Amino acid sequence: MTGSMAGWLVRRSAQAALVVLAMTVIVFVGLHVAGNPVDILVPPEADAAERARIAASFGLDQPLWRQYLLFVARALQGDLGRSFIYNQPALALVVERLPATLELSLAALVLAAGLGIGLGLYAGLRPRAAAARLIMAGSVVGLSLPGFWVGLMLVIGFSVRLGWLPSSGRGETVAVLGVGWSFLTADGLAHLILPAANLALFKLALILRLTRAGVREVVHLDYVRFARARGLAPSRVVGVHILRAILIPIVTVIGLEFCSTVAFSMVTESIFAWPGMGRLMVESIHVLDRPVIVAYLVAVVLLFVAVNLLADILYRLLDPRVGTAGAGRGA
Amino acid sequence: MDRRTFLGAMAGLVPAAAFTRTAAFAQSSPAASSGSRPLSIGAISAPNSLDPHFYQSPTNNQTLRQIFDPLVTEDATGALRPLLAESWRALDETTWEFKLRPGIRFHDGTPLTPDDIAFTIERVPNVPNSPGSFVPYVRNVAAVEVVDDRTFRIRSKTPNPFLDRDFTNLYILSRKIHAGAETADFTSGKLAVGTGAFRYAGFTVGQQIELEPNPAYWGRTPGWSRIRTRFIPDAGARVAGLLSGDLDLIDGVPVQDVAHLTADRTVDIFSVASATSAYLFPDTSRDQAPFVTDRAGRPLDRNPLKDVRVRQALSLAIDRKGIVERLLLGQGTPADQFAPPPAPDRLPNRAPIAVDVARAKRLLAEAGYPEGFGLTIHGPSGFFTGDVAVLQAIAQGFSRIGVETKVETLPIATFFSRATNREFALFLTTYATTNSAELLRQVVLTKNQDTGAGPFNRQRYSNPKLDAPLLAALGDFDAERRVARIRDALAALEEDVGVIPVFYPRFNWAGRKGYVRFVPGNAFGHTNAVFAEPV
Repeated sequence: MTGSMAGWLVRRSAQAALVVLAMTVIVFVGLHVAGNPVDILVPPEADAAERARIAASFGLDQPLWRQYLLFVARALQGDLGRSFIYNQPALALVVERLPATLELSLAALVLAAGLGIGLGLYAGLRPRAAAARLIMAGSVVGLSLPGFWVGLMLVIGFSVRLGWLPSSGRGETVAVLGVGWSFLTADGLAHLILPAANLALFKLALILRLTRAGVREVVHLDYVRFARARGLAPSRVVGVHILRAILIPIVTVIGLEFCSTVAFSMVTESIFAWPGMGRLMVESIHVLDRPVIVAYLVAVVLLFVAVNLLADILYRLLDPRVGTAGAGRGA
Repeated sequence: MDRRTFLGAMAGLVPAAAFTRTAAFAQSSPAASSGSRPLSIGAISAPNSLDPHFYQSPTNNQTLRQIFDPLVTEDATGALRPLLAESWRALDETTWEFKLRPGIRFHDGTPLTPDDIAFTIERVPNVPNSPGSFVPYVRNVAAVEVVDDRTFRIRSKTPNPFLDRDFTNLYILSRKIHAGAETADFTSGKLAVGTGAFRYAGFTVGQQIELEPNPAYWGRTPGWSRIRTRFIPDAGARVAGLLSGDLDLIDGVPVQDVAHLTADRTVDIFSVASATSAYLFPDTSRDQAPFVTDRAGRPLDRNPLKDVRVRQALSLAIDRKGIVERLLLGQGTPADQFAPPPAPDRLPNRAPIAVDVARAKRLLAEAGYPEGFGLTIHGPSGFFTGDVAVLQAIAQGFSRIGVETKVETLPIATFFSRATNREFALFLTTYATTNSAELLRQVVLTKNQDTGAGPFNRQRYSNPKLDAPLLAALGDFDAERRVARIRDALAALEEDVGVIPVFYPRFNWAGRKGYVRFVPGNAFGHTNAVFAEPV
């Protein structure tokens, strides 16, 4: 078993490396076709000599293949290059913004999973209750409203009209393990609520519907009826027998949603001026800051791989029938 | 002006019109007295470093102008004003003498000496990995000679009548404090030590900068207890921050919001004519241009844009007044020439260029295109407010005189590279300066790879009647004659319609009424606490 597990891990890592390699080629070629950063950066007062100096200092005067080989050689030593804009190591720049995004994504996910599973169970167990119908109607709204619009409405409602919560930015941070976290301060929490709610809404609706569908499916199965017949407490029937059976798709979705939130929370980060990775990425694309774009995407690919791995391990814990060989194909 | 700022400064592309504040401003009661109040600013773009010589961009310059000072500064009318230099004059064509203001000290108490100017000029070319350096300002400096403890002379390699203007963006550092300083030392705050009205109090890259007043400042400092500038690129988020009381002052107010913010009793709007000129640049040099066809869509064997009559016709077809009034809702001025209004040496007494469809059609017919032709024009999207709509309005005007025009807009990341590669027949862009000679030198002076002339002459425009007076003016120390020559060059460009001017945008800000008054200090839209006064 451990042997197959190790083989599976090796296969997974090889796949991840290939994905990263393919991604860097695409980014290099894509950005090269899109435009030349020198045209964006060069100050209007610049003369031709200054233009040439900028291109040379970023290595942009070299042919693309040589730029790429140089990048690969350095990347193998752990150096993803320096940002054209900030003159800082690109990876450090991305990692610096990671806690802000991670904090926001986790807050959104906790909100979505907690409420989603709870409300989903309720709606699944009592499908005919008025409250359940209301929840389901609400979930359709949550799924179909565009995120940026909801974000703007939250700001207009809770910041501009009511004045309860700050409209944008990240609050005070407290350093834990050398990293600043804002959810540990009251000011930080106040700043966190609106963007987290904005990000959570879609996921909440998704998890809720998934949970309800799962419950509706298993609640009539024999084993649930036998569990009931044996006189088990309803809480144990729901909490152990039903929940465990429906959790696999939910864990998958939570894992994927977490990844996509960390990777693609640009819209929410823009609306709420949240200083996370998404905003950095958007700004970097505007100015074709290739090292940062590459570093960001490498980080995102690795994150997806890691979270999928984690989800696979969780499956095995939830359902012993899931084998490693089968899970390997799900990468 | 760099494109990121411009994207920001002019772009309030997100309509945030829905924001109206009904809840009272109760929780933000006015503070006890002026001088004890903090100022919270929401700015569209973020500086990438606190090293004043790392990146020559309006964003960096506007931010660092609070901590550091230049020798000379420029006001909103484009005129030069003394700053660290109390007075200056050209002794001969290659020697300038500057006299420093007495008693200037850096934030740590180090006095400013003439040698610090020599140090600053030495440092500029030695800032590694700059994405756009200040070298063009100091390339021509041969030597700095210290005369006495307040006086120094700058010797230039070639005569440069604009040498004083070159020192308006170059902030002065101290040899004692900053010898060997790296860019990271400034950004970390350790060596962010200048002579300016405010002192460094904290900086998070891409997020915010905090400043406190410099009690030892030689001039007057605005009476704020503390400044916090947050960088918020999203226009809607800035407006919401202002209306919710999180922010006291914001820049880059979207045009769509100006009307309802003006009507809002809790908000004041401040604005200034910008030194930006938005213009169309036609391909006048090639015999065949891309994107030019006959009316059936077949490529033309000759380039109609080479004919001045065609360019005149196109210029007469643009409804500049309509564009400014309806698309930009008054946040701009219709163009009457290439140079923007804050440039003191622009052409005097020009009437706005009116629409004249009949004359435009006649000119086209004279040029041999009575049926018109087909054209695709290009422009950036998200570069300035309403850029796409402006381009579409221009295309409609062209179509009205028979030039069947299509519009293609591109994100700036792609647009400028393709424009530089000469892929367009005619495109819309901008240039910002208060110096017409610089405008002409950078954009329309005949491009020359060897001398590096005309770096932004993307369409390879070439007009000897413009080059001759301009090149003479660039080395002319007789102010009156120089301006006359610059105007000759501008007139030659106007007559030849080498570029088609469209409009000059305005910069605007919004602030909390009764809390802050913003007096724009220059025509480049700088947002900083130096120009903000407590009310």
